[in-house]
Amino acid sequence: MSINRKDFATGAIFAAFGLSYGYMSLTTMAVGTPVRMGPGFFPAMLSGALLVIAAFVMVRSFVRTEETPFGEVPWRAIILVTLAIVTFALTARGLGMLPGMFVATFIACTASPKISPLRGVLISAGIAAFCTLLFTIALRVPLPVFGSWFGA
Amino acid sequence: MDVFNNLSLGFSVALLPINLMYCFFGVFMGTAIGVLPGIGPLATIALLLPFTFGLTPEGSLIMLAGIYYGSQYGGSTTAILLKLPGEAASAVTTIDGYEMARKGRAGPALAGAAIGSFFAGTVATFLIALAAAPLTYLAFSFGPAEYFALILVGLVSSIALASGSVTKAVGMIILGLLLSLTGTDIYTGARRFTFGSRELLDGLDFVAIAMGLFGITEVLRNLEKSNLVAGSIAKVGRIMPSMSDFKRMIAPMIRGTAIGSMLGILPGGGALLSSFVAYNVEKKVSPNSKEFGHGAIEGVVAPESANNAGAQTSFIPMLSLGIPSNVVMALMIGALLLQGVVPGPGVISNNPTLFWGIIASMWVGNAMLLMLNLPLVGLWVKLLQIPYSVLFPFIIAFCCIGVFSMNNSTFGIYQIAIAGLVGYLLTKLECEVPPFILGFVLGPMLEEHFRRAMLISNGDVTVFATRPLSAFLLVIAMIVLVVVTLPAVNKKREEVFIEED
Repeated sequence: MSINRKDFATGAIFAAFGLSYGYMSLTTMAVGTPVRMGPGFFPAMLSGALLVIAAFVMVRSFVRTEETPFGEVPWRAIILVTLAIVTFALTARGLGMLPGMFVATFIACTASPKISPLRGVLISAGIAAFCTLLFTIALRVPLPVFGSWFGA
Repeated sequence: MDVFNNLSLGFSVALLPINLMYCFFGVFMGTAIGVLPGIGPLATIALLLPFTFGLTPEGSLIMLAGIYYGSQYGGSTTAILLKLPGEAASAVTTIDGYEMARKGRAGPALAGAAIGSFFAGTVATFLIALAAAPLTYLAFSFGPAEYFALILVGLVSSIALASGSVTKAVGMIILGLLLSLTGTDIYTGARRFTFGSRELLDGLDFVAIAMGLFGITEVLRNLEKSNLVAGSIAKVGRIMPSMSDFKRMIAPMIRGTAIGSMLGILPGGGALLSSFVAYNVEKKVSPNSKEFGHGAIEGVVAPESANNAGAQTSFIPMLSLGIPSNVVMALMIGALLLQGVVPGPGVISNNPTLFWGIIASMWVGNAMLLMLNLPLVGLWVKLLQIPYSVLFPFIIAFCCIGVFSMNNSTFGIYQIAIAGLVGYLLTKLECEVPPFILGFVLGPMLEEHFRRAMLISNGDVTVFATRPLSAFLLVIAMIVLVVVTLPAVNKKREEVFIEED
């Protein structure tokens, strides 16, 4: 049996949000009355509406089954770009702007297979230097050039 | 005349040296980043948003507006020289613009786009000055029920901008509304959807979400294409259009401006729709319609005038009613809120310098673009040569530092990563992000007006239907919803957006 997997997945995501947010609105918050609405009233309404949409999209995925190809999934890029951002968040204060930015952008560079490691080092060194000059020195963003791990 | 008094107040703000500088910085950065293929106005504004926080509200909005029309302008340069639309609204410009460039007439094409944009910008500035104030007074008769209905109109019309399934777009709006409620409830102080996190008490970080959804998602999409091939960059050559070019430009410029100004005001309109409609109209009415597709200057001037006019008149509902008619305006509303200015009809009376200053600065910015762009074409050509492998780590770096600098905390940076991943997944599933962002920005306002309306009416839901203005707006919302679901319109909508890719 064939289904439109994209629509089905969309419906499932909507349903997950509708159910969990609806559950939280009804159980952890006061719902109140239509005149004096509590914090849970409006989100509960929205969750209900989202569940209706979710049901509609999921049912439709069995009826209108033709789908467009999902296309290539750039796993390498997804993982490494996310890793670069998270690494910066984790190390920014410890390493500081210059080394922190260098590490993060180097990880980002490895996301593209077309950047050789040497080129990656050059690009990320350039970006780190540029960002340090622009943000830390010129715009006074409160992130020191070298962070606390360097004893600063 | 009142309008002239107001405009002169506006110019006195816009021409302050410091604001001139912000305006210049805005149009310059906007053009520079807009030129880069693969970074549209949305990503540009999201990237540069954090830089505007230290400024005064006037400075910040003047700069953001400058970034917006600057990036539009930069997009057309890329379209003409590289046949890559730097942003969606200049997609039709590639058709005749690149043909002209191939025939060695890139210079006149660029000049035509610049002059058309400037003319459109001038007209649109006056239109905004004329239309925004009366609309504001109308808005004073609005109660919570009317606002609720008006926001619904705004949300529903964002569906017209989405290319895929209407149902999914509605789902994305609701998802945006739901997530926007994260944080402390303003009426009761109760915590909502914070999962025990203290950082989430103030809600999700709007800038981080916008950067993740537009910036990072775009990076991932570009990295998925095995190679982002750019064509060869055309030579610019002589810039000044000939006398016959000028003669051929006048009518398309006026028609384009008229079309763009009208479509820009409509919710869901704005620059993108304007340029498509203007090109198609021009192709039908122009005496040189045979040349279209083979390098007709009309095919460059009309859509470029239209998209600039549309970009500017879309400020009208944002400034006067506080309702964004497209996603860029949603980002502007976000910026106003972050500046502590509550968008809506109150702005004109509480912050007249802000209101009229922005309007006047638009004209100043357009004049700067005209003077800046033609001499700097060489610089833009250099920017076009930057390979994507250098650009995308830069985008990631800017996103991280931008969000960090806003509240001096790394918490927002994680939100960028999550928003990027979720945004990419949803795009892959053909759910579009713009309706989500509109819902996310308008969610708190929608809830507030809903609660107030229900409180005033004593819990009677029919209040939305019995107050005439609110009923009228709800009918409009219904009509828009029905129209976008009609199979014929739906098909047309898809075609328009397929062309754009």
